[in-house]
Amino acid sequence: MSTNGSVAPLVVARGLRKEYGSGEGLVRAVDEVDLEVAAGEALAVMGPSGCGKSTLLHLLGGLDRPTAGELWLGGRRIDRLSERGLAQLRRDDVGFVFQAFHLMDELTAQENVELPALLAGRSPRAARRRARELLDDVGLSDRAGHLPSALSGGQRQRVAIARALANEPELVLADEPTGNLDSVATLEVLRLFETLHTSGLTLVVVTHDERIATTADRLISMRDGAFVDETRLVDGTRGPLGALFGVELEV
Amino acid sequence: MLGRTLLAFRLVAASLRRRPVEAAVTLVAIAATTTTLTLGLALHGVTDHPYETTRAITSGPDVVAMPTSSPTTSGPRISSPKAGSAPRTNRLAALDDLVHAEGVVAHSGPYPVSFPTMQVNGSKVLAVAEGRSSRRAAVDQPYVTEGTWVRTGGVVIERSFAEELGVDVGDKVTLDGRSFPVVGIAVTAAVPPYPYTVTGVAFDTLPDIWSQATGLIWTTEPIARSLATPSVPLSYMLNLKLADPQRASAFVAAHSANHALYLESWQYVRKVESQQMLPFQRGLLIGSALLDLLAVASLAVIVGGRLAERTRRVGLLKAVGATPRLVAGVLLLEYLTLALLGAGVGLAVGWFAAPLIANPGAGLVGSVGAPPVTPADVGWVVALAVAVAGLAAWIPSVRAARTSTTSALADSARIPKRRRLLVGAASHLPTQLLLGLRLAARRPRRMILTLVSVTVTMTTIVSVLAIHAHESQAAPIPRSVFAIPVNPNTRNTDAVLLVLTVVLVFLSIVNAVVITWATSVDSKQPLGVARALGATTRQVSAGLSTALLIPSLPGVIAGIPLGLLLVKAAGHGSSVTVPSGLWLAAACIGILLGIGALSSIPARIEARRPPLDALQSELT
Amino acid sequence: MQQEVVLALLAKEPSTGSQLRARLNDALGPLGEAMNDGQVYVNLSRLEKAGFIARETSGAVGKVYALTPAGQDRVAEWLTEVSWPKPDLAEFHLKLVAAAEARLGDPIGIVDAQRRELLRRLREVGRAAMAEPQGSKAGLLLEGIVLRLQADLRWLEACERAWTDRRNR
Ligand SMILES: Nc1ncnc2c1ncn2[C@@H]1O[C@H](COP(=O)(O)OP(=O)(O)O)[C@@H](O)[C@H]1O
Ligand SMILES: [Mg+2]
Repeated sequence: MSTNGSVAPLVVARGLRKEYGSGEGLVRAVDEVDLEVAAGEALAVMGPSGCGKSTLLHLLGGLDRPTAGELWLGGRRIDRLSERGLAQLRRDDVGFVFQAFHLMDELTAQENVELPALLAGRSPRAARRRARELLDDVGLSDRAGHLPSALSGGQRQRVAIARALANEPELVLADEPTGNLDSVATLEVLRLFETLHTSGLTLVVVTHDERIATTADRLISMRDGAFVDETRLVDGTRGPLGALFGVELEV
Repeated sequence: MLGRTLLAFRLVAASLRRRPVEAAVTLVAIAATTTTLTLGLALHGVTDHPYETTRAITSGPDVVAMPTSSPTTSGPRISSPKAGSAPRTNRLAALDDLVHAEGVVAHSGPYPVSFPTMQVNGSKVLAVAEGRSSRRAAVDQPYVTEGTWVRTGGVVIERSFAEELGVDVGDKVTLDGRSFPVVGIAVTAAVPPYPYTVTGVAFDTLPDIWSQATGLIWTTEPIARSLATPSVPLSYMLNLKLADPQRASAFVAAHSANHALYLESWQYVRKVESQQMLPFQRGLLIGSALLDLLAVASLAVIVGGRLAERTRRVGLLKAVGATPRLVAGVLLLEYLTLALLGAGVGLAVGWFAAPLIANPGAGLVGSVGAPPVTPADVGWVVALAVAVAGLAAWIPSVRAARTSTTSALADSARIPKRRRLLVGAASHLPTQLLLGLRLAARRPRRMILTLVSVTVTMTTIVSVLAIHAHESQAAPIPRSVFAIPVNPNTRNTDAVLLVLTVVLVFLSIVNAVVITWATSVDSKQPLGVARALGATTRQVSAGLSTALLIPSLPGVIAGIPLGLLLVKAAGHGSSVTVPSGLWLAAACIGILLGIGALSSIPARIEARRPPLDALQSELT
Repeated sequence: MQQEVVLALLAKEPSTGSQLRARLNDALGPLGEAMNDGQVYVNLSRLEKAGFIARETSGAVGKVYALTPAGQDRVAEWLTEVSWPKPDLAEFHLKLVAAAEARLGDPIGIVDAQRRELLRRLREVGRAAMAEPQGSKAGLLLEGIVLRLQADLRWLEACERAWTDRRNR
């Protein structure tokens, strides 16, 4: 896999495999995947439903353990971490954004965003301040006291993104982050990701929407648990848009 | 219609298959509730007006009269033993007059009564031997619980007396040196049971009788007469039925003044009975009250538990186009299936357990001889189960019908209000406590449910402790006075209390488990989210424990005075022995630790699976 | 684009060449970059010759053009015309067919290369669309191109599937 050679890769996977079931019903959701993600890179993973995208993402974020293979995050091997170690990893090093938002229904937007910081042992005051900032960043400071049920899908996802950033993770993993959103909300979320990317965060986004995928620097296609294709999207400038889709008058 | 019925059944089957644990826990909870109710009903047979029951069955007399040698005043106590004796004819004449007194509508006797010393199983005790014929008496026909009624050459022993002496049908007893077979055991409402039989007997011949425990036996008239001695001559006992039983006390007062008679009203016998109620009977009374309370608490837990989940399911069904009727029907069917199964299990368990605790062997009819669970009991239990199912289905249906489908899906019908105090207090606490507090603050109903359940549990345990403390501290009848070796078989007081304690504590534990389980299942999604965000297993389980312990603490504390109050109420105002502080503290801490430990189990089980499962289960 | 575009833009008010150019840029955003001023002026003089527009005055700002009655008729007519660019997929399609029949190359490889190209283009347009402020006219045009590219990518997926099946048979 080609990477941005100058920077040490943040994520490294070697022969990563995840199996479900056994015998006849064995499913290789992720099948011998090698992957490197450079720090600061934005990577998109595409593929048909059921090809193992979510599973891969869950492995990268310590939500699940691989059946085989090695996995490093920031130079630390994480595939054999204890449950406690994984919890710490999810808390401090990774931010997760889900298609279904997964906000806590009984907590307000503000409290949802505070949660990871509090779990990490920050003082309530510091957590509150950080949550305010983040909600401000995602443009929801006026909705801080609302429960998720009182927010629109796009707003919920923005709260979830703010929450993912609460502990200033190096890596943000997003699983179909716009799958439940309309086009306007999708654009809002995309803009947020763009900001994160330019601020130097490493992003891995799973999607089946080409438009979202192409916001990344690199696009990987998956089929049946394996990588089948890779496209570097930043390679070779296309020149001014006009040259491609140029509008010209008949002369 | 057929299609819809099929659909309903299919949905119910799928739901039960998909949530086997929920189904199992609901089943266990309903089984426990119905067991509780079955036992409670069985106990009512013993504790509900036991004297009245016995009086009705035995055609108990309204007034019992015996001749005395000198006029006495009526009352429970004869102030001093009387010396000398009047001629026999005089005595009977006085009784004959009484039969024709105003207000008397029926009578039996006078029966000859003698006072032999009875020897059995190595103990020696004074007996009151009443001579009876084998014919049925119109008034006071003792109810035979074992064996037969008096036959030539045999004796029948009053049940409490027999129990204390450890005598069974077929044993032999010695009366003033002569051996007699025991042919039966019976109960009566005419005189108080052992050891207070003597308080209902005009016993003017033996001094110091009051310091002795006395029991009643029945035999044939010739034998009773033959047991009289010059020093302890024959006496008589006459049973009267009045036109107005409520006037018995007045009747006694009127006739005691004018005749050389000793009279006793049925009210007096009842008073002795209840005042001297044996400690285990009191235990049973408290026990049955507690069983009822526990049944109510379990019911609340079943109906209120997982309400959120059920409401969401109603929303889901509505979202796919099910009519409110169908939704309610499906839910009802599901809970009815579980409730009836649970009721069956509960009745079966109750059937086997009831005789263990509801057969006190007291001097009253109680439930002995009757089946432990009557058809009426079965009816009540099934009705309760159906009511539980109905309520468990009805509340979420109504709630979901009132709210829009979308908010039912999100279960945001109950947008939790900010509980300022709790949420504010939370900001100064460690994170896991904070997590728990916030979960708790947003689920006020669940908190109340937990509070009630824990209060009942603690009340139960405190009452049991109080009874035991009372038992061990002061037995109401100092056994040394009887000079009777205590037969281990007859000491069923402790056995009954033990069984009752075990049953109550077991049911309390089932209750605690159900409430903990329901809370943790309802919190599965938020806790799964917390884990995905990096909460450790310990943080999650501490959060869950906190959410449960907050309402448990006041519950435990409230349980102490409530338990003591209950014992006091059941004890008809007699004094209550407060269990030692050490025991109370142990009970408090034990319950809290138990709930803490219980709540950590689901969190730990959950922790062994990736947090994804909890998140994904939300979607399906 | 036909000259009628310039004609129609004049319908709002008489304008100079540079004013027209600015309005074109506003509506086209980054897509108007390829257009040069010369194209606008060539079209204007051609329209003037055809009698659709007339020079009003020649003030300090430059020549101001306005629609003639004939020009107004032409604009009205143009607005009611129902025309749509033909989707030009046949060429690529034939490329695949030819490559496969003559065994000149792997159709799937061709599809892949094409897909990569389209993805990169999509990235460019997508970024441009995101950069547009909300409610901009050019944003809508970019959105349209994004959607077409996505449709093309979907067709490429279908091609890949079909040619893979054919090869495996
Ligand atoms: N918990 C699980 N148990 C069994 N099989 C699973 C589980 N999770 C995912 N799978 C299977 O693994 C494969 C990949 O799933 P997933 O990663 O969710 O795909 P995607 O996100 O690309 O749609 C699918 O075939 C799915 O059925
Ligand atoms: Mg997925």
